[in-house]
Amino acid sequence: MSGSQRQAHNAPPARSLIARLLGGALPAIAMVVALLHASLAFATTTGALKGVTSDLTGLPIPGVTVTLSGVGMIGGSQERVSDANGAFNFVQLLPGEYELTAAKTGFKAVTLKGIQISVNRTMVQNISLPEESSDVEVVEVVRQKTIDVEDTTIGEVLTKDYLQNIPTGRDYQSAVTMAAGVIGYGNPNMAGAGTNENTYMLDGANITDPVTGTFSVNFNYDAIQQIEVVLGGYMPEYGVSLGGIINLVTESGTNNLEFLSSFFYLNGNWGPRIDGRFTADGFELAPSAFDQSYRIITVSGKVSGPVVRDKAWFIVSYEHARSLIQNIGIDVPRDYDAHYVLAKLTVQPSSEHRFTTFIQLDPTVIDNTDQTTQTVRPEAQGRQAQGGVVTQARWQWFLTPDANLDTAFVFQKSFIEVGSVPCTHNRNLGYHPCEPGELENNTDWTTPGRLGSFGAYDSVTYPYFTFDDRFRYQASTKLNIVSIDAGAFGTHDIGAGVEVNQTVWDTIQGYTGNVYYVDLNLLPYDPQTLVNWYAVETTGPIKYRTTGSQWSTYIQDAWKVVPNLTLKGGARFDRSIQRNDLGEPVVEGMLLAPRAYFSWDPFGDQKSKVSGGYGRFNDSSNLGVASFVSGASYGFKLVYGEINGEYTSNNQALAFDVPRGNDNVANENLLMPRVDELLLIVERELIPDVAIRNNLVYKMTRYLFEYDELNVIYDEDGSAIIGSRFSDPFNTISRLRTPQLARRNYIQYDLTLDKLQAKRWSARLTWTYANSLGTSQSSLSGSFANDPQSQYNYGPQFTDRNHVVKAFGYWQLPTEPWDQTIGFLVTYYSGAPLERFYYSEKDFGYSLRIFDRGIYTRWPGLWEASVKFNQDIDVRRGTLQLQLDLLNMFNFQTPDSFWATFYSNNRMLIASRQDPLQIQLGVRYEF
Amino acid sequence: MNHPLRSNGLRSALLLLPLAACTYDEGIIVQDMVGTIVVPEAAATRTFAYEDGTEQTVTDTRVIGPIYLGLYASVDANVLAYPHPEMGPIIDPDVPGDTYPYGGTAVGDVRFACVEFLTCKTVSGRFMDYDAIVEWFRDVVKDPVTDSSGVEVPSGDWLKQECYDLLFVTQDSEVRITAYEDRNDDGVIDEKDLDFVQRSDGAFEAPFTIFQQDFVEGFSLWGWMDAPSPADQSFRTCDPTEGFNVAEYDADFYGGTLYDNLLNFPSNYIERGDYVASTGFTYQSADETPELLIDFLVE
Repeated sequence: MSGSQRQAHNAPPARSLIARLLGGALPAIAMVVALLHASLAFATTTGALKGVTSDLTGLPIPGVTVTLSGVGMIGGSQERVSDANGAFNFVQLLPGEYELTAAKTGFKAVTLKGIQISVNRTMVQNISLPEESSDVEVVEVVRQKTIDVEDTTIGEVLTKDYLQNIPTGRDYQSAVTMAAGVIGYGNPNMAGAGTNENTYMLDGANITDPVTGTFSVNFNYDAIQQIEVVLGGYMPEYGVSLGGIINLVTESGTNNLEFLSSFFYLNGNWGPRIDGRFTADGFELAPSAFDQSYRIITVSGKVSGPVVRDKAWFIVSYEHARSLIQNIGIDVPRDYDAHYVLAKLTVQPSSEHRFTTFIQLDPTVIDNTDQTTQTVRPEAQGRQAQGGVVTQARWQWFLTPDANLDTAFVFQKSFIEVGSVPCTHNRNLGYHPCEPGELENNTDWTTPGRLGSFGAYDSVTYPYFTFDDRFRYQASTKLNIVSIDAGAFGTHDIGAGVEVNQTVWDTIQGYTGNVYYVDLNLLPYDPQTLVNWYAVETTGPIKYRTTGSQWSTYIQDAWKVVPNLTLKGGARFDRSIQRNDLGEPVVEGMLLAPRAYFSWDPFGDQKSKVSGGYGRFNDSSNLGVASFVSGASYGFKLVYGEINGEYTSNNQALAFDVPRGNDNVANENLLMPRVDELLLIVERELIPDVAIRNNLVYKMTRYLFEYDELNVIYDEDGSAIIGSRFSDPFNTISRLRTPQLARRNYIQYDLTLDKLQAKRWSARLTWTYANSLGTSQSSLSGSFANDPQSQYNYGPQFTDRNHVVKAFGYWQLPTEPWDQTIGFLVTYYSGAPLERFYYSEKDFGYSLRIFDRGIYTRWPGLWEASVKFNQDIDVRRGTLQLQLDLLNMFNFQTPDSFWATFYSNNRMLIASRQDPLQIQLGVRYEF
Repeated sequence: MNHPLRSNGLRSALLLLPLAACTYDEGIIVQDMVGTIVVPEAAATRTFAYEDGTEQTVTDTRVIGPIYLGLYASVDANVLAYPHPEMGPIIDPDVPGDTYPYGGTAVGDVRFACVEFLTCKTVSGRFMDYDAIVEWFRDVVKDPVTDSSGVEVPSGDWLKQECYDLLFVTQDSEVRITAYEDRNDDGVIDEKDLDFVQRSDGAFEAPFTIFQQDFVEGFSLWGWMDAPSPADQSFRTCDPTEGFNVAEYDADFYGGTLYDNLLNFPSNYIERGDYVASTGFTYQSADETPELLIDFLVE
């Protein structure tokens, strides 16, 4: 049974194709598809700095006092004394800008400013100390390192500069699309994986939805310090994911009291959007223009500062996001109304201990939430309420400067309530407004809904309702020891950790009033005569609980064999058990995931890098799997009304079993889905601040969850039922498997020209070539059930966009005293395969059958160009910043999704196009 | 150019990977089961008697109806007047027992050919092209294909266009009623790419595949052929009141679809003139490739 997904303010989530296809007649079948996961991941929210002190000839100088300080350095500045090899290091540094000073008697002190520390990166900063008599300048602003010669990951860190100056939209889901290998919005496809195969982390807490494997938190964009996007090559510490990792790190505050408030208004009502095909009653229209609502308003505030100087910092942020966005052919917009709250406290009472705690809330109400069906009628307006709380308590114990223990506890509760409401609080939407005494913000449990049939109108979600509560309890601890000197055998950075993760999914699902009415043939129904309608009673709401337990442990080592060669290796072991509603373990899995990488600086000048290696990553948790075999499903008790011109009562031919249980089974020998990854990275600094990067990734994903249908037997091409094994052919019995055939192969090559921030500008140009072939796009591939009688179709996947170009950057104009910045983002995605569906009696309509994936055609390529203009104005006590964004400035309106088929024909109807030209005006005040 | 992931060189290189898990045994035997069915020449031969008193005897793949193949617990030669799979308990005296097939498939489907006249009368894998449909009914059956207005369909091209318009498709491979792919890889799409090929002994043979079958040692393959009705060339295994609905202009009809219990209750549909397999093939291993003879004429 699939779980509902969180939504972001700028777009509703794409619903599964099978839900589109099955329509309102069989929502229970649509629910069956759910093989979901949430990955385990350890916290990584800090960076590190290390280097060697030497004289101007390069000879190491031991005993140099190295002091690191920075406005974002809680606990005050830190000192190290370089060892016999001149080496020093600082760990567990909050991301931000630092200053490094080195001093020793007989040498001039050297101060290096502008050192940027990023999350999960180790900055290598060697220091050359001139002798006392030297006249060499001793204060300098360091350049950013173009090449991180010890890093083996593929991915990017999106710093505050990028987040503020690149026109991507004000949410992290949009911002991560800047990274190479990331496709799509909301829940993106990363490195060829499915949208439910990524891991989301917030300040080290795993916030991946334990049911859907998608994001589960929205929050204040201004509170983000950095976003790390990781697509591969990461160490065991960092967790597992078949796709990528989105690691969000929020600000922590400083010793300065800082305040930020902002107001943004985005309007996309620029020009009509065409190709609306259906009116509210489902009648087809010729392609025509629609008044398109596209408005987003965000108001946010943030306060941060010291509670106790150098000891305790806080940050509190709030954002209100309101959007009214209308999809093609939908006559009323989706109304998204959200409040994001983040409160965080970081305390470092001594140099040995640091405590961090935060709480994040994001209550949201979304009216007319379902923008993918043609009609939501006033009496069945859809509403999704979502939100939850994430809280973390973390203790970092610095045993020595080189060893620390990092322990964290996380609790998360999220809820999603989807249902219909009888009236709306928004009188501008054109719905029936609430009268005094009417339910307004409550989901309607009692009013039976109406479903259309035969094109009358269509509604999948309503009157169906879902109340979900999802819980996560997580505890982890890890030990890090760096710079272990092994003499002639180099140095080692060793880490080890354990993590326990318990997830719970409580859900109630049903039909309002335990009945739904189906209207026939576009004609008005007559409730008295049973003409043109019929009703289906259900057995009532079903309630169930599924639980998951996961344990993970890892050990890893980064072995610096010689100064210019680092070998990284390790392994992690994941064990998971998911239990169904009866408490029975239905899915058990374990996997040892080894990883081995190297990183070589061939010239030893930190201007070149060749790295690569092998890693295995898995998908360790699947609450949806437990749900799949939970033993809970609807019974359809009674059908009556006019069917096919005849008045019938208790028509057994149309009635299903009463009540109906779930006969699905799980194969005892399920495997944990995994990906084996090979990668090769070659980087070279061309000129100072400019580097060329080459990434080559090959991923072999195997043993994705699939189900095959055990009961129904089909004809030669799977288009018609000719028999059944156990019971009537309408009763599907599925078996969960992880067959070897459920696989995909993905290759990606990135060529990047990277100009780091210097001389007032920064830019990045990436061309990505990718190929994605396989039988299954994701662990949700059950939507293309590979039944008996059907072949596993191996072919291009949805992510098979062969060419992607991303270019972005910003330029701080030399217009002093004006402080102006221009940012830009240009993206191009070549077309993706579009599958075609054929009439199938088995699926009561159209479905994908034996034809190879992607043979029909490909989506058109997508271009998009956006610019951003920031104007800073010094005002009393602070800075006022005016922002202007032109998103999709050329108003490209290329289709980006399709209804593969609809009703009784097989046309490719355009479901949505690119978001139109949007103009966003913003004001930020900061001191 | 070959796809990079299909490159032999790259594949070979990847063999070096530690992919021991690729040999993982799920513990269940699920595999495509392949074999051949053979239909005697007599089953593909029919004598047509025309109103003018003449007769014509034709041996042609177009006489061969859909073949339904099932995997059953066993085949019983004595339960009915013809060999039939073992049945479960008879609960209703008027209804035969359920045969509870383990799996099955069809060789050739009764498929809608886009005009009401042809509902339940055309089988995939039998007609080379649309002309072959029109000519068969016009020249052999002597009952020309007509459109919804009762006007004789003039050509295969007309019928093809009707299918394209009705089904919103653009290729024969999407209609899937004529020969649409070069199955034997000889470079041309011809009669040899239909389901059946005539052997030197006059019999017709066709390959079959039962996809992803759970193997049960000792189960038997058995099948039968629904021969076209002598009266109107329709097939009894097809329900003309269901299937693709055509509702436009003055036409309102269904294209027909197969009944959903053909393998469970075959005796409900087998009638005089049909052929069944006189003996089933009992599997001892999933790798066997049986040749099943559909040779027993039901009298």
